[in-house]
Amino acid sequence: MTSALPSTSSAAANGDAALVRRIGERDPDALSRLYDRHAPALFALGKRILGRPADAEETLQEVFVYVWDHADRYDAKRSSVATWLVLLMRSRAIDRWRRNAVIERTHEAAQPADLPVADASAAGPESVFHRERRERVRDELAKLPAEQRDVLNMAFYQGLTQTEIAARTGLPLGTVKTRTLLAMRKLRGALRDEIRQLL
Amino acid sequence: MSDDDREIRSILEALEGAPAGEGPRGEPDEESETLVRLYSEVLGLLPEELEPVTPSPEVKQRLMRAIGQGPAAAVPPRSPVEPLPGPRPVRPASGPVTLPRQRARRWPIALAAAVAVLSLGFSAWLFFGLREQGETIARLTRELAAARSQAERAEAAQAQADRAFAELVTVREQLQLVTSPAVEVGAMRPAGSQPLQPQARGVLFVAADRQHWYLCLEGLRPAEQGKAYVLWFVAGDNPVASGAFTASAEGPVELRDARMPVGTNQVVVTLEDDPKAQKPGGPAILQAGAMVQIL
Repeated sequence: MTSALPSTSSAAANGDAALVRRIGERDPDALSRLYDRHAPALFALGKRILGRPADAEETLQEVFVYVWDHADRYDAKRSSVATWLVLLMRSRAIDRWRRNAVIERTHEAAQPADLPVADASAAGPESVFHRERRERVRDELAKLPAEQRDVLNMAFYQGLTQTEIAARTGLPLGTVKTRTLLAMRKLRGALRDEIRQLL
Repeated sequence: MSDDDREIRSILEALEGAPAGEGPRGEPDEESETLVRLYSEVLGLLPEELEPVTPSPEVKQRLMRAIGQGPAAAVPPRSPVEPLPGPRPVRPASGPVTLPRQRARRWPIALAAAVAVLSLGFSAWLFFGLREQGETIARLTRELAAARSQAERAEAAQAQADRAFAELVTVREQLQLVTSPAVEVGAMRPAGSQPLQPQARGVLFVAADRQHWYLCLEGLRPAEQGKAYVLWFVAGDNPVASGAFTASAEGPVELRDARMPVGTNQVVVTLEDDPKAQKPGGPAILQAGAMVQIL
């Protein structure tokens, strides 16, 4: 499956917004195209959180069914479509993870020691822009100190609250918040170009 | 509220879905909302570190079937756009669409339980089977050892029987020799006027064919180390060695053969330094007297 994506994120963002509008008008072709654009990235996120491809696939399907049923709830002022989908996928995946009550085992299985390596079912060729953006994000994440990266991973991929992170790591809550703030602030500054294109 | 506090609140709202940014008085805080938006986009970029993975085609097929069965063939009227409560993932007011596969999620547990029970049963079967085989192996090992012991005893008995038979044959041959018609008998007496072993003596039997003979000697002292007694058949002036032996104090010396030099007219036993001597060199110990035909 290849993504027929425009070469810049702004155009892609506009295209996504248009697709969501059409989905709100019950256009299944729009949903299909939106799925084709974002499913590989969302599926990778689901696998990262849940560990099991079957669970990730079901969650992916749930997210797009929700998009079909509630496309009119999307507010472009709050986030880009891509971010909306990512946060939907993250939320549903974490909920499923907790329901399955295999938090520790599944998370250890999904926790990458290093940067994730593409598996045999890697998505097809992508645009140069997306590849470069991925590399930029990886580079900036790699620059974060390990303790900040760990806190961020626990918050994002495991859905732990700051209090839960403090309890798990034995760190003071204030330290956890500080590390989260520093990590996010660095990423916000380093990825401002990418963010600007999504706005 | 300090800038850091505002910022961390915005981050947490983006992460944990706290209520939309509010000012100190509970009113919408535009700056906080902007921060929430910015940090939401940062969060949206985090999964970019992951390599995209294409799901199986069936996922999309199920999705398209699901929306085809979904509500509203008619297009619902567009409601005013409601601001999402932050980028927090929205949980639908209504129940989620029930997907067929969700109802089938119990089967893995049942399958795992069935596999566990089968595995236990198989393990028990293997255990008892192995134990029975072990007992069989032990029993067969004991039987094999017993059989081998019996075989060894049988071999020993056979060897003893063979020796006894050989002795019987020898004795029969000796008897035949000494009782055969025209057998000649001669006494072996100490040689010389002052014999070196006056107590030594013997009997020589020679068959009628003048080839088969049997000699029995007694009273010979054991030869010294390196020396041996040698039996000589003398034909004219030619002595022929017919065997070397060392005597034993425990019993007589018995010699026999089927060859005797033609024209033998004397039989002598000497004590030699070299058991392989070709001619007598040591002192004569015994000498045959006249041969007499007794039957």
